[in-house]
Amino acid sequence: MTWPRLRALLTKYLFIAGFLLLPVAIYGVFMISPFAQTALYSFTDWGARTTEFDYVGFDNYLRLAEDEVFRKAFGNSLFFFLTLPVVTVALALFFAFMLNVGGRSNRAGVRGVFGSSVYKVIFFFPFILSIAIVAIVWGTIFRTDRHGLANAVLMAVGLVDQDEPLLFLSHPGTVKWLLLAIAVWGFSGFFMVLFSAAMTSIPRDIYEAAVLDGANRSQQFFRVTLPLLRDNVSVAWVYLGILGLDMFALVYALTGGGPNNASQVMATQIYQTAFGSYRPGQFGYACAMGVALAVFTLLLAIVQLRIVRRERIEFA
Amino acid sequence: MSVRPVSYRLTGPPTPLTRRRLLGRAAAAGLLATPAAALLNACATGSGDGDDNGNEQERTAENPFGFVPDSRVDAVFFTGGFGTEYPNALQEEFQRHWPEAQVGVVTTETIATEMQPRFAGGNPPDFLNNSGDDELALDGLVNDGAVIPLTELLDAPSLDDPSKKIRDTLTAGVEEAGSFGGTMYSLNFVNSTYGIWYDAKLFRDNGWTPPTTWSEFLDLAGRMKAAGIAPFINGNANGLWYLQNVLMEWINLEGGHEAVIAIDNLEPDAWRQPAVVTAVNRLQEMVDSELVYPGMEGLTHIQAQQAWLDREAGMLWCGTWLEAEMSDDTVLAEHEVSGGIPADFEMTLMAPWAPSDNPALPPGCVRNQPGEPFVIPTNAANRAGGLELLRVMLTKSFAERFIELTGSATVVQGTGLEVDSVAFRSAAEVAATAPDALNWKWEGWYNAKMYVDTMEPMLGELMAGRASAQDLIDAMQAAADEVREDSSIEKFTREA
Repeated sequence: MTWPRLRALLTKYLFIAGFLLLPVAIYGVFMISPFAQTALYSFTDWGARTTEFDYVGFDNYLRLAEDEVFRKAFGNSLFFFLTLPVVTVALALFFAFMLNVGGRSNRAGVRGVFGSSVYKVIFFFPFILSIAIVAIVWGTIFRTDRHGLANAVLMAVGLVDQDEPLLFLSHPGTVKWLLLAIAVWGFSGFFMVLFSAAMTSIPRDIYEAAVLDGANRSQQFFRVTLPLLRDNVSVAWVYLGILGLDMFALVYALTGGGPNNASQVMATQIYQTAFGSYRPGQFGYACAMGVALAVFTLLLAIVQLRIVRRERIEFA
Repeated sequence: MSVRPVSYRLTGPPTPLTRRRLLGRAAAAGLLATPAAALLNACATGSGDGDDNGNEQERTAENPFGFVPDSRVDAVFFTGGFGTEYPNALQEEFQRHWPEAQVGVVTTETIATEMQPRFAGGNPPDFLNNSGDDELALDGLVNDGAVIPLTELLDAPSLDDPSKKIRDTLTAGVEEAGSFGGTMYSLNFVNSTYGIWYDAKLFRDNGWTPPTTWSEFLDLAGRMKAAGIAPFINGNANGLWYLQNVLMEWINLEGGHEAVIAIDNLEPDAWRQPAVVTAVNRLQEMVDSELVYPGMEGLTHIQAQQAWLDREAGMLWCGTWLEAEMSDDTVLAEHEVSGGIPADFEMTLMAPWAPSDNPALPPGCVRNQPGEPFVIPTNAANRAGGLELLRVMLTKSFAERFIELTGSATVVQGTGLEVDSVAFRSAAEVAATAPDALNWKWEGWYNAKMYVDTMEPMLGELMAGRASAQDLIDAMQAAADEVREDSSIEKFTREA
């Protein structure tokens, strides 16, 4: 390469780098550096109350392996990782299909069920509520005495005894499933809208051809809609998987991980370990949990992406 | 948050959700909202010099800490319990004594969230009111050497009467309440009395009297149930700490002080003593015999207190902050309750009843504890200023001002004699007539392992009928044994 060409190339990249400098610096300071620090502190016995700490090697990670609560939290996180995407995607796809192409097909054209634009708004509604409001609404519904909405209704129709109200989120057997239901209720509206948008980009003539060929609604869905939405479903799946591994806000707000750690997830345990009651070296330990969570998330996301990866279908 | 700045409570009840709390912690939650969240956003450890006494000049009788009169004192207050007015009143009081000094007042409801980074970075404030349920665990601060012993404060001359040491102007128990291993690290400023609360009007109308023994309690409970009122209520969703107090008071009453000292000193099989077995079994009996409010497992302490005010339950355990707490509309709204204190409600304190008919201690014993801790950080830039501010706080004139602003009793002797409240006066009377004081320390000394990891979940399981009294006893004994064998945990003992 001749010198002038090299110089031109250098100038070009310096020019580009000049524009990138600020964003990269911000990214470095607020994203990369905290990650690096978390990893670093995970090898210390830092309590975050003074500036002193010692390096303890892999002690925190060995302790993690023996931590029963962490195992429980990992199990619960895995539960949400597996169930949240399945249920949310299935529900969102069903709603989106019904609202866009699931209408009566004996008339000209393909359309959604009657009143679909109203339903869309209603289904989307939970998603715009702040998690604090969601927690308060459901907390009031699931209040465990006779003043709770659900208990009051069940008592009024005689299904529940006045003196033995249902415990809902305070019962270890039901708490996970109720949290899952609340999360699905919150997220499915958004993914319904996402899938709806994707469905409208599927050419109508494909459906019309399918209808002419005598395809019923379930055949339309499984043979036409689903294959053409594969990309969107994949993205939703991975995204919901990550949300399922997190669940911090909902769990923290509604149960705090209780009763007796029955709904503890990794994110809430990290928070409680780092900022909760005093344990020697707790911040270093919490950092080790954070690193473990990051590694699990990465691994599971890679697995998910492998499973859903496939060639693109072109509409041409 | 909304729990009154509690007293002896060294780490406090578990965290309930409140709107303010949730929104206020959005930053922390946001960090964790991505599973791969990095925990530390700005945590590069700073350079703290542990041996630096900061600003100081020559010590004299008038200026026992060597406070530099024109220096600045950086003071941080928890305002969830006693409001934002008293810190300003303290600032004014301080400037009356030291006109050239500046007091920088910071008020917050989330002490740990805001102060932990400053401790971690080596630039803590000079004076810290470490309270609320987001306080920094005191055992941790002491263990890590992050706060200084306050012995020199107790030995300093009082501003009211320079011939007296401050130690001699305080009510009994202040030193002990703030002590770890015989050294006082926190000055607890507010005097709280704890016990069982009831509505004197409800009791009078029904011809009921406060019980002192277990038989009397069972008899009263039967009559309350017949009247359609649940005998006892506790907000178990976030208030198992309250129930722990009921249990420990029972153990103390039943087994005397030796029983509790054995527990505090981690003696072998301390949790298998007859007094413990009796007390824990009484809790189970209350569940089995349905003497508690149905569904209290999922209620917050505020929701439970409101149900009690609505006369759906007859008795509950709380401290003297109860009246102020239930008069605070913000607190009520945060817990989705409304109503507050009915006009004809006569909020009255009684000493706890015993878990048997022949307890070791006489009836009427209560726990009366100085609470609301103030500490001076080791790395404070102006430690002398922090200490001097504490000295000013312990004057009679400021204490009276505090009582006027907050309606709460202080540890300064001879203050608060003329407060107009049934609850305040009933508590003062119970405290004054108590033949002996109840007390225990393990909960503060070994909070994480014994209280948070064991007592709290086991109480929850016991009250929900998922664990037996024996399960709780076994778990507590195992936790105590584990703490005893763990060399990383600093041990404390007491003789009396």
